[in-house]
Amino acid sequence: MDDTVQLDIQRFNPETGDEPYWQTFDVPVSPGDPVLAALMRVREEQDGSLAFRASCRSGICGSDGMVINGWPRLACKTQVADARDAHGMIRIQPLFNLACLKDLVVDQTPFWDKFRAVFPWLMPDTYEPEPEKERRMTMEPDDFQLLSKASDCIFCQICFAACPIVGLDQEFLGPQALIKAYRFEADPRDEGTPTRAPVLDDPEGVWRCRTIFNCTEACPKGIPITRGIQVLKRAMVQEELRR
Amino acid sequence: MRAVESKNLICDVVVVGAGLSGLRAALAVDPAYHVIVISKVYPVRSHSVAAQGGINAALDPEDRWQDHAFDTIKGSDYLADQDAAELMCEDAPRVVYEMEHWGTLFSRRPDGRIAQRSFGGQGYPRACYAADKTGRALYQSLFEQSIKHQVEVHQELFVLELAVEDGRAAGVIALDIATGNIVGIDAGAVIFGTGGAGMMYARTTNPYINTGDGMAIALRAGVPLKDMEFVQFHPTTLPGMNVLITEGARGEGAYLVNRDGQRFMERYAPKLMEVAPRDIVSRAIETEIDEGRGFDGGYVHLDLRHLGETLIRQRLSEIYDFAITYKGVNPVHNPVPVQPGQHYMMGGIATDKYGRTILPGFYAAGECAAVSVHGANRLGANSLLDTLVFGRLAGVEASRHVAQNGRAHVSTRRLRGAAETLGNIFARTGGEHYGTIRRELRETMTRMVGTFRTGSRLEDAQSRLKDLHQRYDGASLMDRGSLFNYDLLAFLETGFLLDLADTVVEGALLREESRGAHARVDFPTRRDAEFLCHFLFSRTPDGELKMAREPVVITHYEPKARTY
Ligand SMILES: Cc1cc2nc3c(=O)[nH]c(=O)nc-3n(C[C@H](O)[C@H](O)[C@H](O)COP(=O)(O)OP(=O)(O)OC[C@H]3O[C@@H](n4cnc5c(N)ncnc54)[C@H](O)[C@@H]3O)c2cc1C
Repeated sequence: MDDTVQLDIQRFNPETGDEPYWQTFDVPVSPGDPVLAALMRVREEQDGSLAFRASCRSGICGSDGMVINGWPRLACKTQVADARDAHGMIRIQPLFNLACLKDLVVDQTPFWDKFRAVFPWLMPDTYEPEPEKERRMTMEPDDFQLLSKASDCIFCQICFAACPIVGLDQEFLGPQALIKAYRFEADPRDEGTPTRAPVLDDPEGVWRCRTIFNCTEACPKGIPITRGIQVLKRAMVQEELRR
Repeated sequence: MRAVESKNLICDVVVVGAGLSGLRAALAVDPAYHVIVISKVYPVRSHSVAAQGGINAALDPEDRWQDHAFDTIKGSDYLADQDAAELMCEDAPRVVYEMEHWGTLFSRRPDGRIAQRSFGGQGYPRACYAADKTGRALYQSLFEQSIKHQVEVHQELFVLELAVEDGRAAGVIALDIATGNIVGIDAGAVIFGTGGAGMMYARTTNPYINTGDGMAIALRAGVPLKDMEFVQFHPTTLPGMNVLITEGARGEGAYLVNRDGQRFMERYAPKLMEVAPRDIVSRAIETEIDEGRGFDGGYVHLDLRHLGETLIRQRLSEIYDFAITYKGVNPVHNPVPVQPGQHYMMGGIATDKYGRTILPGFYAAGECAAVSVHGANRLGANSLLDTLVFGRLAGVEASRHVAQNGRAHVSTRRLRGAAETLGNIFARTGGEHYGTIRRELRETMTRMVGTFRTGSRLEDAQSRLKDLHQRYDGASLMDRGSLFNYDLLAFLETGFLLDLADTVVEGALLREESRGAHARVDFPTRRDAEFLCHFLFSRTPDGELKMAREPVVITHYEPKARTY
């Protein structure tokens, strides 16, 4: 380790105090270290009580979403070298739009409730207990790429934290639930539009999105979320005309 | 910290683990029974989502499941139980179709059929894939089905103990991470799908949460572990964080090149070259590095450039992103540095091919189990298959057990005991922190119990482990709070890892031969006469490890020399 970085972390522990406070740690780092490696070092070597969730270390499991220098990001995909300011400092807070339970750990309940509300599974159920035959699926390569991209969601809640509408209106379904709905809408195997329409075609559904593009900009998997929501809006109009 | 017993949950079947094996087991339990799934993290954080390259199935009319079974058995260096490998490979096409019907978005061929690619040690391109995010694609469908079928999941419950009452599994005892309370879960049957133990090693592709909890908990409850000396090292991980570069990259045609610009695999596996099995490729890379043909910093190059930008960005999109994010290398223009890293535990809780253990009512599936279908070396893209095949069977068997034996109950005495144990840990002061102990454990395992092993280095590792155990027994916590106490969790996990490391080292010492991933420099050949058998480790009541041998099941394939 040839270098140190200063992590300025917003702490909160309801067992010991009612108010959040800031604490600074000087952490040794090596070139190429992501912010997560520095946080782990704090927990293993300096202050074991620092609470944050983490698992895969490679931007796949979605555990370590947090606000780094004012913008929601994955700590494992944010390089220390890129995030530190001129004074060698990085500011870290829990995700916006979700209640803080301890330090960087937030209450994910509203996020998951919204996800569950959009009937997030392939419909209809063609399930056979002993499937023997392959179902073919053909799509134009570009359409398949869009669908495949939409299915990249890792449930990291970063879009949810980045969306100003979610912050203002707790009833709004939010970008993650909507991109999930889009993932099925864009799947030629799916026929769930009529089932999902009552939830999506609602003032708190697709229509609450004001195309601010924060979700798209923040998504660590590069999913064009806003675009997906716009396609959903069109699908809802078509569905209304059909009915 | 108040280590108090709080609520009790009651069910017919409790599944520990919400990865692919755990969720598949839960969905297979007879709907008449109440299932509860427990996971120490939110389900979607389970490591299954990180799988990249593919899932094997002989789908193509030109391919046969028998050939898949043969490749698996040869890949295992003949240590796989052949009946189990046959069962798995025969079931594979059904599994893949089932997942497709449930919504998995596989990559497709132009005619709409599921695309398949080459994988290490396979005589046919039979790894079905979803770009290089196959685990995520499979997991999402299974997770979606679990929501649709209203599977009851309790996340952020950390299982501490398997409760054995009257000679049968009676449930588990867990710590509620959010509150610090102890929770008893009464059940008629218990299924573990708790995943791997890569955190035992410094260089690993595994996540922080893969700490072998389930295996160690089973061992402590008197259930034997099997094949623990066989640890898989994946040939291609990015130096530093050791993020995985999927074998699918080589399956698509990438080259391994040493510092002299030579495709060195031609000297180790002239026929299969880069897509030889992992044990062989990992040793080849280590040898190149040891003999001075690697790059400074201990790595070789993986060259993808000739594959072209379109293929790389569409079929290998994740690793394209990894190479840029973690190494600042764009694989379209430059070769990617790679080195071997721990990747998979072939060993685990000893089960039969229906997931049963020696303890009535206790089942295991997925990476935490050793059926054994992977033997001494797992072939790439066989593990996802393993989780889905054996997860389902474990769910079916557990239902049968409940039908015959009904529910059971975790005794209050045992719950109180668990609370007391935690209380004692909280009470210790002035001891060493787990952080230094775990770091030393991981360094020791990587340096002394890695790709190449020798008796003397293993003995050295063994005495270091003894020392680490002693230090661990006096270690104390930094955080004494109740809520989200990750200090406590990591402390407990370190204890699990230490217990497992003992079995890995002991097995490696006793196995005086080289087979699959276990390469003894001092015993360089395979010795079937003495060692064509599984080692089973169990704990005696006074904590000593005891080893028993179990014969390998052979059906059709006589052990032969293994060349590629
Ligand atoms: C980077 C990477 C890529 C891979 N790619 C492939 C591939 O392409 N093809 C392939 O076949 N295999 C691949 N593998 C291997 C494969 O992904 C894993 O072996 C498999 O997914 C394991 O699944 P599982 O269900 O057994 O466990 P996991 O998915 O690891 O789930 C374990 C579960 O157990 C729970 N748990 C653990 N301990 C406790 C506790 N104490 N209390 C409560 N809950 C607990 C966790 O919360 C989690 O839910 C890859 C592995 C890695 C590391």
